[in-house]
Amino acid sequence: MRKKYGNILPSQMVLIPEGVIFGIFEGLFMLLHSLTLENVRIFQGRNVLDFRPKTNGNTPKPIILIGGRNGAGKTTLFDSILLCLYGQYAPGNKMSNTKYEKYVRQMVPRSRNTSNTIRPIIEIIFEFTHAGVKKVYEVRREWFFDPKFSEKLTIQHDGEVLSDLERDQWQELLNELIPPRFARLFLFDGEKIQNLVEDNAENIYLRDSFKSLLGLDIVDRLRADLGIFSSRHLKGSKVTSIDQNLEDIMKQISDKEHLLDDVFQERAKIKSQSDQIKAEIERQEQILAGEGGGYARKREEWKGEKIRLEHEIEKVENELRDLCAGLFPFSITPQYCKILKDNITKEDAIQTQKRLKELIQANMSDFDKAIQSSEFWSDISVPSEQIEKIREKIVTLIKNQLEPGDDHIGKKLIHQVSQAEYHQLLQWIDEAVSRVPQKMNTLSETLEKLTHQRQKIVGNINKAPDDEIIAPYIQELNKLNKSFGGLEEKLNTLDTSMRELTFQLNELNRKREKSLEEIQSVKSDSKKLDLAHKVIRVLDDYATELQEQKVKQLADNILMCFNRLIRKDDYVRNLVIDGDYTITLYDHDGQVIPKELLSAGEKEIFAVSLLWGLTLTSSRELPFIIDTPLGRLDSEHRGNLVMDFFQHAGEQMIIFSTDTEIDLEYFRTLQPYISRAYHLDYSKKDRMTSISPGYFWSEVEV
Amino acid sequence: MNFNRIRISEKATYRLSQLKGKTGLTPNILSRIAICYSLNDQTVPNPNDYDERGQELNRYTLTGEWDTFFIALVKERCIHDGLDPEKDLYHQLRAHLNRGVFGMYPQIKGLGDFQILLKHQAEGIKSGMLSEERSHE
Repeated sequence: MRKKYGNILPSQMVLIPEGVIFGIFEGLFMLLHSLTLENVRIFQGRNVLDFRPKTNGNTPKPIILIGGRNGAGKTTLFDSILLCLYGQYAPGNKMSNTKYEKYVRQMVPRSRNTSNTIRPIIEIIFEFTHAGVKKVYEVRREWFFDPKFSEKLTIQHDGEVLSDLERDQWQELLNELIPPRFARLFLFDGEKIQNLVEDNAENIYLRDSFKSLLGLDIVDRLRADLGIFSSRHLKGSKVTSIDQNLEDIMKQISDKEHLLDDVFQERAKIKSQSDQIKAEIERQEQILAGEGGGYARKREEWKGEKIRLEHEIEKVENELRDLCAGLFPFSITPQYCKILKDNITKEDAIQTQKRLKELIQANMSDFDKAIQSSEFWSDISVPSEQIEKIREKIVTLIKNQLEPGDDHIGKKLIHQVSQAEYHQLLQWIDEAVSRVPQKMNTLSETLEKLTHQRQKIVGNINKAPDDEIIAPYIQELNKLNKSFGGLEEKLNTLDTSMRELTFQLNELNRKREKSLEEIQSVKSDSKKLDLAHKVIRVLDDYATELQEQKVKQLADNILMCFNRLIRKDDYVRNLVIDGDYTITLYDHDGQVIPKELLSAGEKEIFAVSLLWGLTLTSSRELPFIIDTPLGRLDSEHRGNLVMDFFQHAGEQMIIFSTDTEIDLEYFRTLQPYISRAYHLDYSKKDRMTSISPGYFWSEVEV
Repeated sequence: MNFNRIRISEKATYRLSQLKGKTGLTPNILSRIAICYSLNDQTVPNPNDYDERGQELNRYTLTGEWDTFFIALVKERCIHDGLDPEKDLYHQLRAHLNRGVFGMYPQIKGLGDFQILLKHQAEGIKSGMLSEERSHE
């Protein structure tokens, strides 16, 4: 099969070991045979550790136990496995050459002045079984310091140096066989493992290992291969322009997918940061609430309210002052205002009359003259002897009218105000007795209300705790909120670019479909292409379906493992993995259990469940290599790990432990499952560790 | 009797400065209110009850644009009391001013309290209620 497929797609298939292509359908099994250290740190000379598990009849004995006190070299063994498999990539991301050299130089025994002549060597032999075909690989990595730092990697396959691979592709082969991130999951350091959960980073790990671990990457690869197959097949045909176009589109798609991938990674990183900060904000707010922060948070609000009230009070007070400086004083004495009004009105009447009389008197002689003239009587037929009589009567009447009346006689005018003053006074009095008191009452009531409000606010502000006590929390909160805001902004930006990229990808995929259809129509006679096309479509559906199914399976498996190890009935009722591989836990009421609330021990259990769930779902058997496994667990959880996980999780369980973790009691419990045990014994005098069979308690037979 | 200045008592001066602190109003404005408040007490104030060792107020800052109004009111009161609205005007004005200060002093704690004076007026002020002695309560 490989040959056939390989002929079509040599460049694509070269890194896939035989049989892997069927990884979708069948399990995969890996077993570590041995680890050999030569001149690595405190391991001088050649030290071989056989890891092959034995069986006891039908009972598997998966456990390889390596005991050693602190400083005896457990972590060196552990790190060596990573270093041997991944070299420069060992601690995660690729190191720079100088950094790597420094790192390797640390691995050299610190004894005497031989560092340039001693070559450290690490060798791992492992077995890879796929679809019933077993292959043994020997990976050997050695380092030279003389004349300058260099590394040599050798991979042997079933006893022969791999020949059909270029040397520079060997590392890639190893990365294919055991993806590095994936290895970091399975080689786990008990002291670091719960970071995975603590940092909310499990989705990144899950996402990274998910596809390859569950065989989904094969589908993707197959799909891509078929696409390339289609386009290659068209090379040289009439449709080269369409083909060229298609290749462009494919390249663009691949570029965009990479970009999208980067953005996705970045987003997951930022998201976990922002979640952490959010949790921290909540924590700080709780502390604040404890210190009276409920008031504290409102404090600024109150201060603002107080200032607003003070402004309003000032406004009302100014209006009151204006009123007091205005007509208000007169409002207090409406009685005298009324008397005054009456009197000035009377005086005005008198004065008006007086002015009238003066006016008439001033004109009396003219009047008299006019009445004596003959023209006055010309049109009336009055006998001339009567004229004088009538004239006298009229003049007397007017003169009588001009005499001051009895009621005014002797009355002295008090105010003697002018016309203008009179009208002014009337207007003032009117206002002083009607409008002004009303205004005074309204303003006073408003003032009282506002003053009362201010008192309340001031009371609240005083009740709020001292600035000095809460200031650090407020400051911290402000800082956190600021960085939270910054991260949210970044998230939004990333979301936008993700949307954009997705849109562009959809667009490109549409174009690709179109081009393929064009090619299809041009080359409709090509059955092969037709088939490939159909297969691609089927694969698309298959991939989607498979992914959904696997995710569901994974969630169920993790939940099962967790509940099995945690031994709290119904602690976690449901576990959901969403589209970006974020895991959410639900309790029996359907409420979310925030992972931050898990204890350190529970986190470790959760992380272990994650791994166990992954292996169960992937149907890949990989060795578990666990350093300092029980450090953070309480006795009950320790028991669960010892009784359950160590014994049943896999075919090979390599445990590095001190005598207080796997103690005598646990050792006896595990004994039926232990294939091999080693004891690392560090000699201070020789500054080296010797490895001997057996655990701490040599009297116990293994 | 014409006058340009009016000199109030030492105690009234002190009370006015206290009231100024409580209300932010100048002694002139407060004095205007005092005059009118005192008019409500039907007893005739005795100018001899009040010394002239206190602050001197300028008539035109005291009465301001309302000079006609104040003078007219006090004249009315003089006539009501059977006094000479010209000859007794100054003394009565001074007496009412002093008496009014003592009368309102215990009522006013702040700017919002002037409405109380309106209420007192409406309820009727008993004779002699505004005398200096009562203000010492």
